[in-house]
Amino acid sequence: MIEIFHISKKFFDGEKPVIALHPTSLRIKEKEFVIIVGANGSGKSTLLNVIAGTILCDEGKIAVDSNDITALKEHERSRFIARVFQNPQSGTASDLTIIENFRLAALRSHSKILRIGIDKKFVDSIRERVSWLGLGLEDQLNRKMGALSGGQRQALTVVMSTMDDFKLLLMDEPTAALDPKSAELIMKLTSRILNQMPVAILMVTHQTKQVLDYGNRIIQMASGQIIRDLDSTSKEKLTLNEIIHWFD
Amino acid sequence: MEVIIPAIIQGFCYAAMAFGIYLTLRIFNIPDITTDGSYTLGGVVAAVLISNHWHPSYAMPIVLVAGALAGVATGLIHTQLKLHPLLAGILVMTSLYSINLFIMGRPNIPLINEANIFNDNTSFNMLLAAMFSIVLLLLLFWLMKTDFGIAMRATGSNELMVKAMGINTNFMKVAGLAIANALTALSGYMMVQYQGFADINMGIGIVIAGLAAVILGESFTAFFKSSSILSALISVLLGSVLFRLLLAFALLAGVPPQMLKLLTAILVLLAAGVFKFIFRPAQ
Repeated sequence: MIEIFHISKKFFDGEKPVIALHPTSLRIKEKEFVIIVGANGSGKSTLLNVIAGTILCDEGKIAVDSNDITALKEHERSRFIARVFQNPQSGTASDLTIIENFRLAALRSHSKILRIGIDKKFVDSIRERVSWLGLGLEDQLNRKMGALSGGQRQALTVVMSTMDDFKLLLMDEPTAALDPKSAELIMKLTSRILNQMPVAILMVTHQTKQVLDYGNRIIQMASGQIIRDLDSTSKEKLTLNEIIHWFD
Repeated sequence: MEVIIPAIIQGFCYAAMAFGIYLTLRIFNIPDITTDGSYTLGGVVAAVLISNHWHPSYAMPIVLVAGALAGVATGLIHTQLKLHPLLAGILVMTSLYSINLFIMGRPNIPLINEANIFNDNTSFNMLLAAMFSIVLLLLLFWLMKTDFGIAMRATGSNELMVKAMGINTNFMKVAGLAIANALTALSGYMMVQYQGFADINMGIGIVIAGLAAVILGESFTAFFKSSSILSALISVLLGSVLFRLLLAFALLAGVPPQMLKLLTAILVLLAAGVFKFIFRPAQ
């Protein structure tokens, strides 16, 4: 359970404060796949960044399973929070091999010590996970991440997020930079994670079709606040037209 | 041969520093020029201890710690006070000039009739220096393959991702600068014993030798079209030796010693700017 109480964020544009996030509260339960929609500048990314700790909120409190994480730094929150970024280059390290990227992901909530952790057992387990993608990458685990396409990297980023325990997966327009086929793979992977792991997912998207096809809760943001919050029953009844009218 | 062999031995002695430069410049993408100061610091600490009849093997850990502290200073200034790493390095390097003078108590210390890792036997010296640099190379290779090493390399590659992986990037940078400057100090330790004295000015402009080794080395990796860590480290070692050899050949060819720094700069420029086009690295 992720609880967000009255978090707010102002930015300063010279002297004038710009309110990026009005006091916002949100409670996300395990197995919820929350999709956030909203126009550019509505505060979606600020909300995600405040939850991840990339930016600290001015006021309010964030708790994961009653652990207060408000004061934790980004790297300390990674015990609870995994991320997939909009830019496929952001989720993986180009200069490292695929297997080395997975090693880091496997240690997200552990310390990285002076020990060689990539052994045969580890490689075999990664090969199995990666083969599920059906991209043939399981035989190229020693390739540099930088040599792969955006779609391949984003798919690996999603698989990497499952390497270690987490409570909340934050996805900021994960398919915006991808071709339709890669985008579909990412969405399938995400649903699979939700089915198999005791986690919650918070995803920002601009693609209305994804809003209809995926997720079991939908939130609309505008001018730094939540203006709509529909549970799965109300979401079922939604039509494409209705969603488009939300943005009028 | 009386020029070539010492050049090779020096190349091995400078390899530790070159590994340090490789670590900061290529692994962390941080241009660190604390080097001039930490190289002298290593030499000075070694000379003071050895001239006080310490055995060199006991002096070595102290030298490593001293170099690491210099790196920690630069790292903390860079990460905590948010200064550009070049500026942080200049500040620490400048301070070290005074600190080194203070430690020595005079501008130079001769090491005559003291214990020394080197002796009068050229083949022994060559073997020792080579062994030293190869052991360092293997240690670094191992380090880069550990979980800690992967986290270090990722820090230089993608800071955004690394934070999401629960890595404290500031800690990693400070640790990396500490390791790099400990290695640099080790080069000072070796050179002081090889040349038989420490001098307050021994480190001036030395950073370019490390850069030259790394960049000359990269023309090897580009040539062999390999991008593995092991081949990069081997190339840095070869680059360090090659650089000393090139300088020795220049002297043999009659280039006046005062032109060596200019020649070094031209070499680095050639290696960095021109070889790149000749041997395009495998992408």
